[in-house]
Amino acid sequence: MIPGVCGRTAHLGSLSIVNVSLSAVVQLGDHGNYTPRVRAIAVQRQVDHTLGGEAEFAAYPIFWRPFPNLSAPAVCLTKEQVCERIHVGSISVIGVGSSSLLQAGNGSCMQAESRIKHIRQFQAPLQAPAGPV
Amino acid sequence: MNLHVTNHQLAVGSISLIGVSTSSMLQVGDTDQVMLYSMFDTPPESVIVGPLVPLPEPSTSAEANL
Repeated sequence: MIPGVCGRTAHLGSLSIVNVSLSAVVQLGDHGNYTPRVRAIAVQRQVDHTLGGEAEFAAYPIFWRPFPNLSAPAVCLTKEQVCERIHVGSISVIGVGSSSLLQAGNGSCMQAESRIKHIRQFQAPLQAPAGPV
Repeated sequence: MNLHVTNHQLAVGSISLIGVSTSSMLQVGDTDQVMLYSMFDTPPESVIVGPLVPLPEPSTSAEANL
């Protein structure tokens, strides 16, 4: 048990997962600090653009814009453990992705960050700008 | 603020999920502090209709902010 972490004991009958991807973690046990981060530019193009090159994270403000502060008031927490056991018969998950967490155990602090920019490009013919008649 | 929690017996038969998605968590246990941030940007202007051109280079002001 991690010092400062006072929690219950998880008992799992079975755990079934198909896919874990993109800064995701499946943890059986306790953790202290967990801070996954994922940055993604998702580009969907109608046709391939072989000369387009790579997209730059620095071109989009979403990748450096600060997150809002989620400061909470100080809480004095006291726990009374009548039953120190959590029992789950089975967990079945298809996908765990994008800085997420699936855990059987206790934790101290988790801060996950995800920044995704989604761009869709459709091909259209170049039109001449409308000029004065 | 004072918060007193009494944990009694907890037993779940089965949990079946399609997915645990962006900045989310599924936990069997206890956690003191959880902060989950997620930015997903698909505004209408992110739809580009026209001749295919390379995606923009970082501007000098953008690099200065990094």
